[in-house]
Amino acid sequence: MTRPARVSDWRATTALSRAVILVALALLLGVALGRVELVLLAIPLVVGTGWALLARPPQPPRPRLELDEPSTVEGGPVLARVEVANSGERPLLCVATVRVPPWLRLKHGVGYYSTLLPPRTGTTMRVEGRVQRWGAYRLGPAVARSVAADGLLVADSAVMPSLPLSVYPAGERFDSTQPLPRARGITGTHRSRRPGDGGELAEVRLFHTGDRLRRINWRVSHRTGALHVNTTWADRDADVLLVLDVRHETGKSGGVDGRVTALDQTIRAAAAIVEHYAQQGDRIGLLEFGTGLRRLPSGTGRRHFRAALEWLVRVDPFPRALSLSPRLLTTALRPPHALVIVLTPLLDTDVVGFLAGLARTGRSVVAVDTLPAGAAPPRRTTWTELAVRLWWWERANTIDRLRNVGVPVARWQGIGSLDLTLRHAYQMSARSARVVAR
Amino acid sequence: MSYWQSQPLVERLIYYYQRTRAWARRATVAGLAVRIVLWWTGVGVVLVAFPHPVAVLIGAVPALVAAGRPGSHWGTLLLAVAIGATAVRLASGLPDPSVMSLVLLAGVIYLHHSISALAAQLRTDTVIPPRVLWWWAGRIGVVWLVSAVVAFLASGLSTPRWSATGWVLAGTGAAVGTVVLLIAARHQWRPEPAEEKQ
Repeated sequence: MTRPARVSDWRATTALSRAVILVALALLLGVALGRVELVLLAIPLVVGTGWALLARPPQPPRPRLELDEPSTVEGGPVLARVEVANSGERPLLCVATVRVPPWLRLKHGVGYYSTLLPPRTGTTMRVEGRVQRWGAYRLGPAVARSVAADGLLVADSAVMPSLPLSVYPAGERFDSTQPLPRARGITGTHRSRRPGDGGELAEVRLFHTGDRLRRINWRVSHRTGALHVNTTWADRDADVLLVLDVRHETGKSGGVDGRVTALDQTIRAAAAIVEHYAQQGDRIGLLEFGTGLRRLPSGTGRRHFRAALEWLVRVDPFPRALSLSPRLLTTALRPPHALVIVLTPLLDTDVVGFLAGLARTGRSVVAVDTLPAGAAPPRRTTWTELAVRLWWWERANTIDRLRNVGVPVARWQGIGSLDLTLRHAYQMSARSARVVAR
Repeated sequence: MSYWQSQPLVERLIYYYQRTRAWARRATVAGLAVRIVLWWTGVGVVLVAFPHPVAVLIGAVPALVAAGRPGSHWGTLLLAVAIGATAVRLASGLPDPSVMSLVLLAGVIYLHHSISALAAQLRTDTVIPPRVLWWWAGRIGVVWLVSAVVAFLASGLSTPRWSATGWVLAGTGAAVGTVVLLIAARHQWRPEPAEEKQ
């Protein structure tokens, strides 16, 4: 990714004015006073200025801003380069300024770099660092100043436009062995409630015409005297819809190595869940519960996984605690058979009502609690601690009430943290299916 | 926030303290070294032009300002005052400064001017490779050397074979010619639209 920049022409600096003023002053005073010693003071200035201006640099260099990789993960390296070439016969000093995103910790300096450009060569200024937090950033804009004639002439390049930099969340690895409820599709890894080709034993029944010979259960057939076959549950893929509650933030994030906020936890958990189900071949959709109704339609495959990560990093990192009506959000929950995983810090009643409403309509829903452990407001008075303790109790009651109405709630803990809740959701779904069948 | 911290004056002081601390964290060793050397050369100019402890103490302040704002004309003012003071000493009845002290003053004036030109382009938080500083120092050394040769040749030519009027005319011609050449060079390029801010 490269952006060249236009350059202005050379212009004089204060140093050139100073040289002219001092030489004029020394020479004219020497002549006026008849003291040749004053000329002595002007000699180095005349020699230095004359030598510097003997050869005018032909054309100011044309710098380019280049970014090695337009995407990285939290804590990953970022390497950008400002390339400058000197086509003249005299050396140049080049000073480049690159505006860096707030979460980029540079290896050297804060974004101002200088280098010496020997004649007829090019050089590269490396802007190197580690990015600390997920997000969609822009590296740049950058400006380079070329200094010629030993600081007497300068030329500024036009602003080199900024380059996009996506920093993907790097959360804990998520893994789950639980099947998902309402698996559909043609093939996949989840056990469906329909018999078919698969690995999970459904029942042993009498042989019918059309059954495959390799499915005959010889042990049971021998014992009963009649041919029996094994039947299995079909393996299917599933639709997963992640709903991200991004309306609240808890304090100031410390980046990948520091303090974790609710938004960090939500985004990193979503990335881990998306990665897991994308690898399994399931269809995943994303929906934002925030100021807008941003959504990523369901999809599958590696390309969709990258699209989901790009979608995640574009979540507003400064939540405004405003949201659309949960009723409007409910209409956007497509497809209707998808398992809805709501990632929320459970900080207000809107999301609780939304979850309870979903459970009542018979949707398969799982809530993932993304409030970091120990999250608390800053201590303001002596009552703060007590108030926070009361609030935690009230929140625990709310979670219990949610469980009572059929919303399994699990705290996000990385690997296997949803196994229990997914099993619960699967059993609930199977039970409701049996009730409907009766 | 305590009662004292909420007072406007204390709040402002805390703000300036935090700004200074942030600047100190950003600054690079090389960037600061350039400014410190610039300050020392400014003090050196004052020391050679006004060889008196009080003058040095007073001169250290404008030298510090010139080092803090190398893109401004504070450095020009400092050097102009040094040249003016030398002219006054030569024109007054005081004993003339030695040739060595004048040579030293010429060298220090150029040193200050050249480092100021470099510092004007480099912020204190710029990453400066040592190569840049060595190249700049080498260039200053070459200018000193050439200037010494020019001064030596000029002193050899100064055998008074012409009349006093001839010397004045030649000197005036040379002075005006040099200045005109430099001004022409100065006007060959567009002047800067505004003062270079640091």
